[in-house]
Amino acid sequence: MNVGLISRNVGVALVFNAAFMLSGAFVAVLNGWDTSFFPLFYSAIITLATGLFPLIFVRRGGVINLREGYFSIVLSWILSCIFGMLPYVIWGGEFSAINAWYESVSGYTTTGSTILNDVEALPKGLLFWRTATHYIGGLGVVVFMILVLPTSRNAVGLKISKLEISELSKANYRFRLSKTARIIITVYLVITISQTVLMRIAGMSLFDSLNHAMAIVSTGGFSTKNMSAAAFDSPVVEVIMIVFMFLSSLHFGLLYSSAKGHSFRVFRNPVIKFYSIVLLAVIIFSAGNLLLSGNETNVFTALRHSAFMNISTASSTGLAVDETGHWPVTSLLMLLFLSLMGACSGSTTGGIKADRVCLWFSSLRARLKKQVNYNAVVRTKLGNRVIDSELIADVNVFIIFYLLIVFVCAILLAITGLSLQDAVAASVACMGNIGLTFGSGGAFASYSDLPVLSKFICTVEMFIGRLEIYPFITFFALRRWK
Amino acid sequence: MSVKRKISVAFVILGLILLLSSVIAIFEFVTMRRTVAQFVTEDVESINNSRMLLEITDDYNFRLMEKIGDTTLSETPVLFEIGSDNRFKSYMGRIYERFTTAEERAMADSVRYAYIAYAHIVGEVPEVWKRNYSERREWFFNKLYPVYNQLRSYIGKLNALSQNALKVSSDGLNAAFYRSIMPCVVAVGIELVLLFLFNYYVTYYFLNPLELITRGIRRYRETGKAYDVSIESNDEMQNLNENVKEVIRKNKQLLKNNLQ
Repeated sequence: MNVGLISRNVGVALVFNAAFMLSGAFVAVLNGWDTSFFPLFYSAIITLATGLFPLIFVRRGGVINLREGYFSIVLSWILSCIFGMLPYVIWGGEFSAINAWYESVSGYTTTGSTILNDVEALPKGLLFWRTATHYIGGLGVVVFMILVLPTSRNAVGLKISKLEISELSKANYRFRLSKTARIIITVYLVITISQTVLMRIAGMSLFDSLNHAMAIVSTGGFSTKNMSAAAFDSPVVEVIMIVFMFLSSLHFGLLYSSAKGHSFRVFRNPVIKFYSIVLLAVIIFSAGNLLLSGNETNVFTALRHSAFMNISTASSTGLAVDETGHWPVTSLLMLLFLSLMGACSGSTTGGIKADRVCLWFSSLRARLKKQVNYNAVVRTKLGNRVIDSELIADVNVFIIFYLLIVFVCAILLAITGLSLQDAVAASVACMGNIGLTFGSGGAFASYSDLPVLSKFICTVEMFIGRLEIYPFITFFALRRWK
Repeated sequence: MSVKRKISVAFVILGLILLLSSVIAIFEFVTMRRTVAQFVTEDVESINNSRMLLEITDDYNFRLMEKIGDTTLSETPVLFEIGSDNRFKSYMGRIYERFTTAEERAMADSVRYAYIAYAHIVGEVPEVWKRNYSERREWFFNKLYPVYNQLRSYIGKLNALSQNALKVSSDGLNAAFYRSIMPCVVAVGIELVLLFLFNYYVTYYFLNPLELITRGIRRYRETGKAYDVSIESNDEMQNLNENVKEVIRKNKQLLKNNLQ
């Protein structure tokens, strides 16, 4: 294995992280040299020095193979999380070693669950760094590595990119790999800037607007407020967030094509149609449920809260405007369904992905048709595209594997002392990188009271969820590779 | 980048991290020392002062109680004149100099007023001594003792506040210690990793090529086999290899010419 090449690629990722740390330090300076300046600046120096070190010795170039690519990706993730916890550890406060690790992993994997009991006690530099970890994680370390791996053969690079961009989504990316990366970055930046501007106009401060925009586009969910989005108490802000959470949960390539072609082509995609219809149905049903149960008395408020919470869950953003602790059980179960389903591949969301669920339903429909007419030749179709049986089998295996991991982790969490509700809620939230919990603490609760082992299990689950299972397992099976 | 520059830059980075962690360690040590001197020492002194106040008042009160029970005494007991006793005033003064919280100041004021009330009642001793034992006793337990208890209670509360302030300072010191040591621990940990990497890079990019070149030369010298070492590092190693290739080529040419 070419250690030099791997270390160089990991070094580039660390340099990128250091740049964002310096941005956080700059925010601390703008905030009157708050207490986060030193931790961020020092961490940036350390991370930059460590990242630059391999670059001194290892020349650019050299062909990377698949094994080395996998190693580079997963090692970049792990080291980014380790170095990402430095500012927290050095600042202190509620950040013990395990808490800092948890917050860092939650940030990079865009989960958004926090161990902080008082988010607003953090200085602005550190709040910005929290959100920046979402931003970096949402794009994925690999996008930047693709940009700096010009000599990786396209086939290898495409396989590596599966770690970040779901396998299903590559079908819609009818572009070369480098262009794919540019599309993702472009859409990312456009959504960030436009949302920041709109929320600023709606009355939020620039700092809050930028942080929430970064958290939403990466579907992370770290808020600068203890009460999450509810702290702003503004219907306009909530509607803006709803729209952008929805956009961030769609396939970026289709968004780009639609925007470029000035059309609504994105909504002709069968997966997006399926996802939108499911969301709409759940929102309306949940709103009705909230009204009937007496949780809400105003129709528009009920619709707004239902839309926000359901889209926040489906997109795995995890921001909250309402305390789900007092929601009726049926609405909670729908949230649970959405947290498992997730949104579209090709975005930064977690979960099983709407593509797979849509495929599963299509294959179920074909199966039922065959059940009725045994001799008929029934093909599974997604839109006009015929889906081969191998892909269907892969989808089925993935769904079962996903649920199995959720179940196993829930058991492990229960062993560490969590109640059934909390264990299942935490397992689902971490695996789907949602962050929002339906546990006994409610939507605004933090994970600070979890035992140390539980926190560690949650972080492992976040990794598995973010890398969509197989790359995580492949990494540990690398020794068996020849 | 030349070999020399690569190694120099690597050492600069390693040195920078060490220097940074040393500077931070010294800075944090100085800050902690100031914290210990300023807050912890003051808190400990406040606790000692409160304890001394309690001892003085207890001592006076118990001696007065002892005298009250002595029926053979007909004259006013020669105890210290509480009004002119400077010990209490001295310790109160020290407490006022060393406040760390606003609550301590408020409680010190309560102690001072309670002491004034106590001293005022003690001023009745010459008159009380003219009465009989029962009346003295009644005066002591019904008039003086409640005020003495109040004074004692305030001193106790003042002591508790000082102890609390000490606890807060200690907790702050604990947190400061953790914060001060973390950058150093991080720097040392990363330094170790970088040293390991440095060792790997030097071995892989400099020593291994040298070994390959040496082996290639030895193989040519001993067996006459072709020198086929290839190095593409774009630095002095590559230059060395190219030069060795050229020397061997010329050597072969010379041998060939000699044979002819």
